[in-house]
Amino acid sequence: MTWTPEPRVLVLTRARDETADYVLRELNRRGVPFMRTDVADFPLRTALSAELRPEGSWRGALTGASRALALEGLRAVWWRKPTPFGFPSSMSGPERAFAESQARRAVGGILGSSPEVLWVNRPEAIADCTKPRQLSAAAAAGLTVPETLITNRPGDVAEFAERCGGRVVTKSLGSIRYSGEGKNGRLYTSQVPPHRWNDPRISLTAHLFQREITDKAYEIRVAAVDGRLFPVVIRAPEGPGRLDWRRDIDNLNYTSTTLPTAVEEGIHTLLHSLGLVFATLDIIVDTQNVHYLVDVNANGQWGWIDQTHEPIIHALADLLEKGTR
Amino acid sequence: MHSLAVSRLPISSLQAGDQEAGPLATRPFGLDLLTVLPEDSWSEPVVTVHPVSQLSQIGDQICIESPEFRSSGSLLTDTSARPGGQEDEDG
Ligand SMILES: Nc1ncnc2c1ncn2[C@@H]1O[C@H](COP(=O)(O)OP(=O)(O)O)[C@@H](O)[C@H]1O
Ligand SMILES: [Mg+2]
Repeated sequence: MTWTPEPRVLVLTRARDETADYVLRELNRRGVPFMRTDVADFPLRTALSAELRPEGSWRGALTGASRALALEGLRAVWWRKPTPFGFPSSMSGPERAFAESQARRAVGGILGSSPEVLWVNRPEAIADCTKPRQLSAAAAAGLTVPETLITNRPGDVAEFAERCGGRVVTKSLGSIRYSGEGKNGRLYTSQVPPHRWNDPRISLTAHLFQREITDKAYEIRVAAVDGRLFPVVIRAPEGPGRLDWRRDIDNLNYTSTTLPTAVEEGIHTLLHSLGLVFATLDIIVDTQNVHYLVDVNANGQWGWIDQTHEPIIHALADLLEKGTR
Repeated sequence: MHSLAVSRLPISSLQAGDQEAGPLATRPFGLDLLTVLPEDSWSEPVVTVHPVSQLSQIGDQICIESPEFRSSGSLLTDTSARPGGQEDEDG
């Protein structure tokens, strides 16, 4: 076992996470000791043992294959992309459910109870950053948000769409990943033409409809780290990437930019109200220079954009190194 | 400071579903947006964590130090483009 001196930073993520790797390489360069583990490593590869102290703190250790972390030294947790607890495959469904319930309460409860620890981000803040909540918080923070309807009443869509000049899009309320029927797919933002407005299958669950920004000039992806903003203009060539740039990820053009002060201030207020120290945000800018906030990703990706790659690595490393103190 | 809301830990499963689709009459409208990704025979490599650097590695190659694992889209869409792959874009 390679024993590093008292890790102060815990990084929870899956084995393959290049985005995290860039920051971890920087922490290595700085000599900041950290422990990396996946939630999936518990209980078979990572052990947790903690005892309640009379004054209320948990004293103990998280011990992995190559590193161990004393809970009392922990100052920052980076919640990246962990995967589910890994139990022996011979457990039955109910046995697994019990084991999972025990593990969630123990791991989440012990790590989450220390006031000394900075979370990037608190997992419940990530979980609560739903589209309805973020759009409401964005509007309250003074940012411009396109008109949005969430409904399972097909009849309400036509009236809304007409108010939006007949041009509306729909997008997933959650992950854009969908896998089923043995295939992997993506739920990209799509236009909803008039003949679909009354589709009875809208009633089968909640759906989000939004005014389409038809005179899009360009889009901006902003990473926010501990109050610092890293905005980049994204331009997609003519084609499907114009509506949703992820459809044309290999042909996008990126340029550094700065945001209007009012938008910067709105973002700070928004992230404060969502309880996030890190996020990536999606903004659409129209030909009148109106900045529409459309999305807050509490655990968004940023590593692939060269223009902001290095500064974000340093900002995240600064934040994790600093921790609570 | 309050404790974590443990029932809400956002932990994403990487399992690709292969259950069959239900009847069209009860298929949610939102799934009509689905763009099915091309089947890819490329199988997901076994990724481990390097014990000293703690960085992701495939075989004995550190992922971020080997050009073949770096492509512009890979850090956003990453391995999700492949069946059984891992990345969720955002969120
Ligand atoms: N109202 C809209 N009008 C035009 N394009 C949009 C609109 N909303 C989103 N898009 C495009 O779709 C992309 C994805 O939408 P977004 O709101 O970021 O949701 P998510 O990333 O959760 O799917 C955006 O980055 C943008 O390119
Ligand atoms: Mg988005």
